[in-house]
Amino acid sequence: MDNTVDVMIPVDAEAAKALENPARREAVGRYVSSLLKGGRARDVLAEAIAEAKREARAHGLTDEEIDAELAEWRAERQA
Amino acid sequence: MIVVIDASTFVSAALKADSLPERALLRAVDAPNRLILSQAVEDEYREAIFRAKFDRFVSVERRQRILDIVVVAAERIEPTETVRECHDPKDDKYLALAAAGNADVIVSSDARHLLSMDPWRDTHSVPIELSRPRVTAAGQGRFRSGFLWPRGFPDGLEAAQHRGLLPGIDQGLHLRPDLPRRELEHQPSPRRVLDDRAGDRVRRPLGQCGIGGSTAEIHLRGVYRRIRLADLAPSGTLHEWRVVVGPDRRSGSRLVWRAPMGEEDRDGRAQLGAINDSLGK
Repeated sequence: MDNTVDVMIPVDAEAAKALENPARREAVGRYVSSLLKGGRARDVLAEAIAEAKREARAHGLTDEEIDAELAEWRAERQA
Repeated sequence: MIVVIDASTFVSAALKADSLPERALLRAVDAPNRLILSQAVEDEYREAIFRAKFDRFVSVERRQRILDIVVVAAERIEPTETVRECHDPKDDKYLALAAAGNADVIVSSDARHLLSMDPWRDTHSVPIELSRPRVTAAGQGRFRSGFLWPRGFPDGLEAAQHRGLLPGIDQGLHLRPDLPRRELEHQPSPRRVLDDRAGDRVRRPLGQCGIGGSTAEIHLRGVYRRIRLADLAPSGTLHEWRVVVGPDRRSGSRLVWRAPMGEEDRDGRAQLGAINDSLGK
């Protein structure tokens, strides 16, 4: 990778072990760089949202309940 | 466009079935648009999405992942100016962020405070909700249903699309010049094919579909079907559009077009059903 700079990123112990491999560190660096440059973030976010919504629907969360909870949160916030 | 999104819109984008807040959020993180975020706004996102009420529906990990991605994708701006102009002082953080980041727009679902300030300095506040569809009888049993009409966009639909806050012509909503008053045609974005013959009910993105005027037009794997909305069988739950298109030429299996039915669609379809009932159809 050209123009790379080493930075410290806190990760958990399992990830730290996986990143002992230089090739994996480079791959992760490229992935993070591409994520921050945009383009990929939209896709990754869309996927994460889709997963959350699937789980929410599967457990019976409705839009009305979300609206009610947000209204309650706003009311508490103003109090 | 530089975008600020409030916490209610963020939570709605992450959890609500209605996809409009989600589309606004996804557009905001998609270049050339830029979502900006301050620590105060991030804290509010965190507070709202980790409400205990949501714990039994969506895991903390999934919500954390969404927040993490947004934090990574957003440009960090820390305001230095103190703003005390909003009717709700808790919303001043959004104004401060917008001012510090030269935001073009604040996307909010709070009609009482942020939206009532539109325009503020050089920033517009826009609602993420769309107005109810108008369902009107066009005579001879033909009805219009499913139209969406933008509300609160000071410069109109095209400006909203240009700003990236509503889907553009290639992403679901487009103007039909043959319709009166430049109504919007609603073209649901999901393009799913349900192969009924597959044991695991595989869904694959294979086709195009559109709903407009009094008809739905569906293209799936080379099969085309045009159907009158009035002829669509009422759904018991009104949660999705569902149309049997016909046999797939290649596999012979039955192709069924399905798309989630948004609130606007549900209302429109329910009203359409009521009109049909009143006419004894």
